[in-house]
Amino acid sequence: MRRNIQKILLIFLLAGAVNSSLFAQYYFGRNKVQYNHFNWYVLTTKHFHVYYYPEMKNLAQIGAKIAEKSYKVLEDKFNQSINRKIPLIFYSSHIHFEQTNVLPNFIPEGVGGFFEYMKGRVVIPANGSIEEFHHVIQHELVHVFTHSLISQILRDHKRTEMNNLPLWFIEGIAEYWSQGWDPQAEMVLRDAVVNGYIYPLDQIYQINGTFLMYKEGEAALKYISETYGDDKLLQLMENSWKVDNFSDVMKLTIGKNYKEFDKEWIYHLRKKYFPLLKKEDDPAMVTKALTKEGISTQPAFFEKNGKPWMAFMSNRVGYTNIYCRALQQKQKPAKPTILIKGERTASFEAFHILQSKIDVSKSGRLAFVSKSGGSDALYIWNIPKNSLEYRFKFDSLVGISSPSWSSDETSLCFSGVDFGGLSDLYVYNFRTGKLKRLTNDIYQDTDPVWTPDGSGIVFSSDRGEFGRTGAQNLFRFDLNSGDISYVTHGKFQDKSPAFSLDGKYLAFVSNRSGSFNIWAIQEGKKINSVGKIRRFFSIANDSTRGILKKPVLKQLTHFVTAAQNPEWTKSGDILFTAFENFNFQIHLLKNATGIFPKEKPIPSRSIAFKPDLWTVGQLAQSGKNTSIKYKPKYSLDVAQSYVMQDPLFGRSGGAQLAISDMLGNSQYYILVYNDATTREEFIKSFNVAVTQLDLSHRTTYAWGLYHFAGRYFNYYDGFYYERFYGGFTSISYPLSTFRRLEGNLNVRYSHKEWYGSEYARKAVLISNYLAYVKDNSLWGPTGPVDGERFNFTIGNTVDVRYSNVNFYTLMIDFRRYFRLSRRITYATRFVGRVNHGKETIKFIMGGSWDLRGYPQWSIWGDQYFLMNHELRFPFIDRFILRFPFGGVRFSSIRGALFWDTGNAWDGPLTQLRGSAGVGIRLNLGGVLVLRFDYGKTFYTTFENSLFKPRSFHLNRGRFKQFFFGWDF
Amino acid sequence: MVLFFLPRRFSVLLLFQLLKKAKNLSAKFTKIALILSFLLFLSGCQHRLIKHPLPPKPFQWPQWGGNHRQNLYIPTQKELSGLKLVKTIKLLSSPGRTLLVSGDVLFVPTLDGKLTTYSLLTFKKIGHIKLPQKLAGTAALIDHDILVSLRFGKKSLFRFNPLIGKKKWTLELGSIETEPLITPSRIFVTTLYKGSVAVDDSTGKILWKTDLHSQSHSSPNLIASRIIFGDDCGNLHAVDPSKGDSLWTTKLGGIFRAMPVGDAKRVYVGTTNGLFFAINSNTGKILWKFPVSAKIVHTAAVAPNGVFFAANDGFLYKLSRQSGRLIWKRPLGGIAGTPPLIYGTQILIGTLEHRLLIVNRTSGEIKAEFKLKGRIRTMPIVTPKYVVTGSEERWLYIFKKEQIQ
Repeated sequence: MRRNIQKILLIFLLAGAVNSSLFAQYYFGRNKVQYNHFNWYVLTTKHFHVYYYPEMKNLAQIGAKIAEKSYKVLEDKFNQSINRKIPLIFYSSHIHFEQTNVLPNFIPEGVGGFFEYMKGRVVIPANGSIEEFHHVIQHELVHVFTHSLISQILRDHKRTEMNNLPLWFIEGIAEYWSQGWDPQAEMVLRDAVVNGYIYPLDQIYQINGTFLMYKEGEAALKYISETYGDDKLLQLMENSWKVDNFSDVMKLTIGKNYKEFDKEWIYHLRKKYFPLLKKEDDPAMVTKALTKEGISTQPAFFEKNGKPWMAFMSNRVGYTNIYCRALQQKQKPAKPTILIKGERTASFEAFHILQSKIDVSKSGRLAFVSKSGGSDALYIWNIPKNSLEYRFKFDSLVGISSPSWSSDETSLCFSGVDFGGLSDLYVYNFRTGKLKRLTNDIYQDTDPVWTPDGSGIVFSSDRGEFGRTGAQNLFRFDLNSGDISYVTHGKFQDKSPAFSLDGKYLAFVSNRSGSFNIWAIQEGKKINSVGKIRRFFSIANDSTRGILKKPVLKQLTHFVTAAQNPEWTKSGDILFTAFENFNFQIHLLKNATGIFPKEKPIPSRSIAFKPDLWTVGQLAQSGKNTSIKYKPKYSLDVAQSYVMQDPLFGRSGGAQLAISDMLGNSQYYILVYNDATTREEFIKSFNVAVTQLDLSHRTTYAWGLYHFAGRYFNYYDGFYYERFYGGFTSISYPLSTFRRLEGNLNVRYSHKEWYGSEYARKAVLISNYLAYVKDNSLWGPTGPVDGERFNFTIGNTVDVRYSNVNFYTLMIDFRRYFRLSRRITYATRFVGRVNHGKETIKFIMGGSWDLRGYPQWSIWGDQYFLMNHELRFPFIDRFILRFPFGGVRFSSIRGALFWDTGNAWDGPLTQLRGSAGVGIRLNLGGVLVLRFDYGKTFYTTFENSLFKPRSFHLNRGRFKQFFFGWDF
Repeated sequence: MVLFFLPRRFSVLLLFQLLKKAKNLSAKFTKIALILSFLLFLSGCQHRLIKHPLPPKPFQWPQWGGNHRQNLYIPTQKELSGLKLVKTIKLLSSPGRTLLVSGDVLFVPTLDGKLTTYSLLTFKKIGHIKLPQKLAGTAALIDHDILVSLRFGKKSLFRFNPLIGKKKWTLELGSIETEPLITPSRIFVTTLYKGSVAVDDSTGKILWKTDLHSQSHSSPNLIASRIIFGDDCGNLHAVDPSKGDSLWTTKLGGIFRAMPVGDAKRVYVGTTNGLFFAINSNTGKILWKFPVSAKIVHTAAVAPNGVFFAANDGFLYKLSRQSGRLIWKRPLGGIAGTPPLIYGTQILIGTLEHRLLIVNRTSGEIKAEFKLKGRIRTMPIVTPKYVVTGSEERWLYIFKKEQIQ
């Protein structure tokens, strides 16, 4: 039986290998869609092969220059060189990056780049900011150097283990040696220390892989560097061969193990950050939290029936949706209602919850952005009518963020990223239907808002004097002249401008005080050239000509952690996103306009001249830096072999190989094994399969050839020998991330002999399958908790030479998950399968994966019916076992109540089996789920039809079933 | 006796076969002869580095830097030209920071903790020993004995006879990441956890010990009758070689990886914070400093007309000894993997870009360049006939000199 399953899985794997998601999740799974076909080129520099596409040539050259500069820095820090040219694969935007085939996995929005160590590839998207591009390039190159150094050290000292550098160190040093200590790291550490959730290094495994771990690792290494010397960081790596435990490596290097270091380091952090509370506050202590679950960001104020409301984004249920709620609440807190559901359909794939603001016009039209296919789309949603009004996709733009309405609602301004990766300002006019590009340069222009008089746009940009080092200031784009002038100036990060509704204040977020807080500029007044009095907000301009009143800058909030995305209400309050307890929630700062006069004015340094724009040097156009068209060169990804001794089938051995090109677009899989037991059988029992996958286009293809021969067993055929060889081709077309069409043609010769029988069967089989698959499910720790999955497959198999086999196949599998509350799900599954014809393949059933309470795969037939109902709920969230030598931590133990019904049968249906019971599921390390079910089985008899039940019987005893596998 | 000269594995097999056959022999003397041979064989089972005693006064490259002055300067009128690679040897691990030579025997320490000897006449392996721990990349010759310092473990400094493989003495000094300094009758070492130590070379007795309250990755040097070395807290120490008393300590910052070098008046040393210093060797006062944009991890070389050092910015610098004025700087095409070694009018230096360079000492011009197979972190040594170096990818290279007077 096991062999037969092996065979089925193998053929399925080969035949269905067109889609990478298929490997991961059986016959469901989302699609990694190749929306764009990139025309790749390779730029060769002294230390790099830079892969890019022509549209981003300029950015690739900037990236190559940055990479060479970073190489010099890291060569010095590591005292190490890299013995090969490093492959750097650039994408001009994150949306393009998400299509990379270097990794088969889906790449979440938060991933800024990665280093794949098998082939030493570094894959990085630009996000519009040159400084951020620089940071990510250097971050990934730190990984390259670390890997090179550690490999060399271990090789030299004849050590083989690579696991002695912990992840917090690997990522911490990549952060610290790439951009150093930045405002974001400061924000996270302040919060962790002040709110008491900092994990000492001794316990840091509990947050392994999280953003908090990155920043804590960086903070620990910063402390070591500042206290013991920067070279100690290198010594930590150099000493890694000496002992197995990194705590002991620290003891050898700085004289303190984890516990001793934690004591010193955490005391230092407390001493540094606790005094801040004397003058500053946690947001929750001085402002009112309007949301509390998940992550909630990007508040937008609007009025509904004359009452104040806000729209915002939140992932409180797992999916990110746009919600709205009333701001005035009498007794009970107003409950948010879903305005637009996200992450379930091709139209609203991702709302960019942490990156893109939303805006609601006076008439209640919500402007927001969502990823839709291969680019972002701009949407207008009419809130009073609760309907979609417009959807815009612009051919020239890949990314869009933070749309803002003009006061007359005729135009929207927003930040857009073009195919070449440049982030600029755009205005879309509804009257003319035209898109106008306002800026066109290498600077990152974000968060645009219209000035109250509509004559200009204020935005945040790194185009300022200090922009190359990551500073952002506010600027004003004059719509009449096209001039850009400073509103704020200095080595700060000034972001998210928002004008008050009366136009008298400009609020924004800045790290001028050390952490991100809300600042506001009160309008100044001046007489313009035609003698009219005009408002202005620039605190950077020191001109006194025509000035009646100078703008005044004040700090409105004094938070220890951070505030973001300020949004004014009509009554002069400010809605904002607060960062606290490692979470983002929306808070209300009451009476901001009333606070303003009480705060001290902050003198700001104005500038008398317009500083020169910074530039990025181009790569020298010398003979060393050449660019050629990309040609695939294949190299080994994985090679593994096995030898197996089976008591029933004897010994077998084999090998698997996977090779692919540098971009992962073309992949070959080769499988070779042999299970001959005698020398004569060796040639006959040689099994080989070759598959090629082409992932470079939206429609993905696969073809393969195979030869399999061997002795097999299953319950319905018994022992038999089968030899089959042939070829297949498959095609898959993803309609969207969530849906796809699949087709498969398989031609093979099959010779089958049954042991103990004279009968032998020969066939030349042609199989065709067509499938439609949908999957938008949301996964919890042990399986799906929301959404739905659907697979509809039809096919037929026919023996074109001997007419020994001829059957058709019909399969439906539908699964739906209903969220009863945030943590409780009701899951259902319906499966119907029919194979009808001559010598059909049997469907199998039984066991923990389908019909619980029955032995694994003990039921078979050419007809199959299954219905599952399951209530999934939390059982134990955290469970720690302690031993004298350490501890084991289990998290996310989930409970289930289930009811299963089904059967697999030949001929007319006479019986339907079933089971009911309870179960628990335990996720081990995110890769394996252990499941235990306890219950009772039963059956119902029928009179030849599902609709004519005769009797219901309970089987004796109760069953206990322990197995592994994800929930359906 | 034949067994003694056979490879051990084969001789054991042969001996057992002979003993087996000897059962059938009636003559007792045959058995006795075989047992005596076996005992003799066992006495020869110890690991040996060399098979014959070293000649009384051979050419020696006895320690890191070539001699106890350790200024990386070999005064000679000869020139290196027409170097020809005559032998490439694949080692079992990357070679250490330096090699040793005594007569025609080349001692090669490797980072996996082995010390192997090769004949410079035949280029064939003579013998090897496995050390109890990994080397920091150095060993040294004291007379005809070998001094070994280990990077890890308790018993980290010992002296042994390479001919019979017997240890003369062993000291528990903990990890030593630096090169020991051997002077007539005394050995000086800096350690990670036990400060700096002076040892009597014949008895292994500790003469004095100073506690640094810091680790040291900087080898000690004897400059103007003072033992000078740096520590990981950025302090440069001068101690009295006879008693170990501190003469002065100067805070320079950064971490010292380089060994200080000097002349009669000054100490020269670079630090990881990118500064190269000249210090008054009597007072410890900073005479001048020269900033570069990267770490300085390699020891400088001092010649009569200047001081030379390589920084991690990929340049080789020549400064005036008196003023610290830059005389020239030369890009090496990658960062240096070894300190510069001055041989007459030329400088030998290896880079992490796999190149061995020969640079003119006066002009800074690169006279010759050899592309090797790995990063060169083993300082080249110069024998009367050969230039020898090693690279990180387990390679040892022997170049033949064609000397011009």
